[in-house]
Amino acid sequence: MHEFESRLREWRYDLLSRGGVRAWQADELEDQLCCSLAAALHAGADAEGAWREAVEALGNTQTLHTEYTKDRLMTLTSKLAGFAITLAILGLATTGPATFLHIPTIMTVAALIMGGLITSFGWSRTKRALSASFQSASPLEAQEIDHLLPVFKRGYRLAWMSSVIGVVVAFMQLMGNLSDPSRLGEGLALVTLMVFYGAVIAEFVFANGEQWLENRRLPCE
Amino acid sequence: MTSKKLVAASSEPLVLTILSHGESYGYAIIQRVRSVSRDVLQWTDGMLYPVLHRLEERGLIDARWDCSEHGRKRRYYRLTMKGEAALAAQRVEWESVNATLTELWGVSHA
Repeated sequence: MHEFESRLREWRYDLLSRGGVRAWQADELEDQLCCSLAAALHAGADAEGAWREAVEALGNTQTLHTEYTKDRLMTLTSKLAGFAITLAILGLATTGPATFLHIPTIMTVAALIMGGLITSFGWSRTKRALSASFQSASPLEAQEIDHLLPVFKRGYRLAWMSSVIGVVVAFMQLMGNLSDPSRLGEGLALVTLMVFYGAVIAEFVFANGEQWLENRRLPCE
Repeated sequence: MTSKKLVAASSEPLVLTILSHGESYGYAIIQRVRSVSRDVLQWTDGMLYPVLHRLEERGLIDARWDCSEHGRKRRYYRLTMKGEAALAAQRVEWESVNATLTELWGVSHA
């Protein structure tokens, strides 16, 4: 197996750099590859032939990426379904879903949160944290979880902070329109929506996301 | 060559049955399937692992890490009680389908 070490490293790097496959999953596939290599060598194949045979049997890294990504989409679908059901029940229990829907306010809150996260952690780590939590439920190494959890903790605080900022801005606009009582209702509704969106995103997205990520922690052996 | 749909549909009962005989790992499971099916069922090695992970998420199998003879980390899987129940249920379904098809094909050849 000594002669394959550098090839195995390159193969592993290629697999992990495509995304979709976690380090512990790559460990498992690497073991599979080594077993196939050993079997091929035992059967009389030369090093080149054994490598070709083993990789063909495992599937190339693109195929593996597709297979593992497909698996994640199923879990994402079930999580999105959970959100949809929650919002539907909320809409049915009140005056209707349209009451809560105000796209500019949602975008303002989302922009404040994402801006804060990207400033703190960069786009790459933020994206990895969100996809690690929402797209899969397979076990994850503790080191990776500990690296990604701060994104959710910060996101939670940012969501509440963005609703506070939104309330302040909305109140400032409200103060500017005090002379026009007909616009007071609109201003107060905006204030309430800011708090609502901040609370929903904090509790349903980041608090849940943090727990989903934590659920993926590999048990101690 | 067996159709992809049939290979996919049979993967779960095959894995559960192999694990019902004792703890095993990916490569050994694939070799067992190949030898029992006389190479009729040809899984790409990498396809097995998402199946194993889904079964694990559903609580039908359990896993633990150990070291292989090649010095790599190896994951061993075993059937849980819930997995045994699921296997029993799937076995009834497959035997029912098999019996129906055998009856129909038997009648058409008569």
